[in-house]
Amino acid sequence: MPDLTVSLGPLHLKNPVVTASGTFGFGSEWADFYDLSRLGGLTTKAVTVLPRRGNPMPRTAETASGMLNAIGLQNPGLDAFLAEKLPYLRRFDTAIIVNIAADRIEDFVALAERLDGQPGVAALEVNISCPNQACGGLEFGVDPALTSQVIGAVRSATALPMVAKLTPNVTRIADIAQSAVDAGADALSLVNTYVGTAIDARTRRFRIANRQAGLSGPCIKPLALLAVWRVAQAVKAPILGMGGIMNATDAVEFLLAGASAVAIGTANFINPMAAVEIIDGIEQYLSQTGAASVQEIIGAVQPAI
Amino acid sequence: MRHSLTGSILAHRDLGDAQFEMTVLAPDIARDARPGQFLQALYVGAGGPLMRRPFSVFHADPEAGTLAIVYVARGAFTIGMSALRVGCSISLVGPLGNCFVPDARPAARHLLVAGGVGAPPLYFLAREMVAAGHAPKSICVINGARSRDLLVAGADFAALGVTLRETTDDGSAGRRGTVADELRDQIAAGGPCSAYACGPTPMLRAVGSLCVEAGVACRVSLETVMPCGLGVCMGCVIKLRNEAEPEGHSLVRSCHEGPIFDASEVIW
Repeated sequence: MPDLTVSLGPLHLKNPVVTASGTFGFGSEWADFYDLSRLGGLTTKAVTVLPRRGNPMPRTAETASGMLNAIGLQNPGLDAFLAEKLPYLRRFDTAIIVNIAADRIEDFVALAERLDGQPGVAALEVNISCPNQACGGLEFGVDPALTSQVIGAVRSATALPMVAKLTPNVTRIADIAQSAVDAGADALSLVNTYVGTAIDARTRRFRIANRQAGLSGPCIKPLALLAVWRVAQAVKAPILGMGGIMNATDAVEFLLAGASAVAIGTANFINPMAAVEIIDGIEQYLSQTGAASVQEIIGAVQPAI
Repeated sequence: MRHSLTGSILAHRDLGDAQFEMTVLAPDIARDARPGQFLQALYVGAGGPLMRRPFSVFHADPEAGTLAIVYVARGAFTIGMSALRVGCSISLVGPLGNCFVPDARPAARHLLVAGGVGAPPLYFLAREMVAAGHAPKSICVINGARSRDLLVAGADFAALGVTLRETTDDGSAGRRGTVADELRDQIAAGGPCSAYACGPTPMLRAVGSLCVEAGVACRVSLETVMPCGLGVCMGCVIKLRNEAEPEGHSLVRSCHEGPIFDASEVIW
């Protein structure tokens, strides 16, 4: 049996498959499908200090081999997360990664301070793709200095393993990645969604109320795979790779590109069993190719010729 | 309990007017499905589709392990689905969402109000009610559409022996007018009654408002885009009255808390 364990810095996972934030709720919706303890980790929907109502409808649209979403971080807020969601998640033997989002650095700090030391929380994933209120809505994650400020502030507020979730909507993602690591991020998760939109020619209206939305699904996989490979080449930090992973072969490609673990997002909507099928498929791939562990294939991609 | 399975298509009938009835072998879902619940379906096609689409259960036969859906082929997904042959497989997740619960008052009349492709879950409800011993004549189905060719499941309702009232906007079948026109008359006929409705949103709004004004309990099954159908994506939320919220309403998932809501609570 190949060794499936991997580490994202101080965060140790029993296998390299994690569910991606915003595609798995807070876990309870999956109770009928499989035991959450099978997962390497589970990333919660983004949690904000106060409850968020999210964007107006329509919030999603299917596009060629992908989907757009502009949910707007609808979530019950930190108090409700701690009181109602975390107790459920705590009972499973899987790494609970809490995704935190805010539009002010103070709020990121407040989230990190409250979550620090909460039993059952294995790590924080800092969503730096949020617009920064203090900078006229510019996203933290598109600017190396802002990235450094927010990651540094969260680092001072918690001893929990911290993963910085990077947006791909930048010119040089490796620069942002380096800033996050220099400011204290233990690991990097990439990529978040690519911005896009959809228009209905018949009605001549946007198909998304917010107009700008995030594109996910298999159509972004080649883009995400390159981003992971680039960052893996440039930055000495473990990567949680994601972006259009639909099956075990896709997941293996991300591992070969340099990700130490992978996150399953949109695939959860399409196949509720996706994450566990991918765990089994990775194990099978390792056995069939004679690899003794996942570690052996991380970053093992070779030149085409 | 919810299941994710791949089922074999046992029958796929072209009902005419772009309507199709598909029967699938799916014992786990057939056993658990209740009227008003839905399935998230997906088939393998060249170049797509990627995401699942929701379909209400038309009827389920736990003994045979079969499920049926009735749909209209009018978009890329349903047109592609209509080409699937018997023996092909289709992936189903379900049953999902809540279900219709019949008014338990012994003398109650049950007004099932269907608009176009909203008919299938109400057929399942009528069928289960008759099977559970409700007098067919206590069930009045008001089945409406823009025109005769868009009416769904008319013969199926008739075969149950329930009272069937059809309406069409153009008068090509049944009463010329809307289901709300007929519903108003049915309510006016007196006696305790409850309404159960499924159809396009403007129809549900009209039916819901009419019932609220008349003091008749009305459950509406809302049709929304449902990217996941599992309660996690937050892409299908609707507004429900909630005075405890500063805005006066909550945003709730139609796939998870619904798709059936009390008409008096829905903000249209």
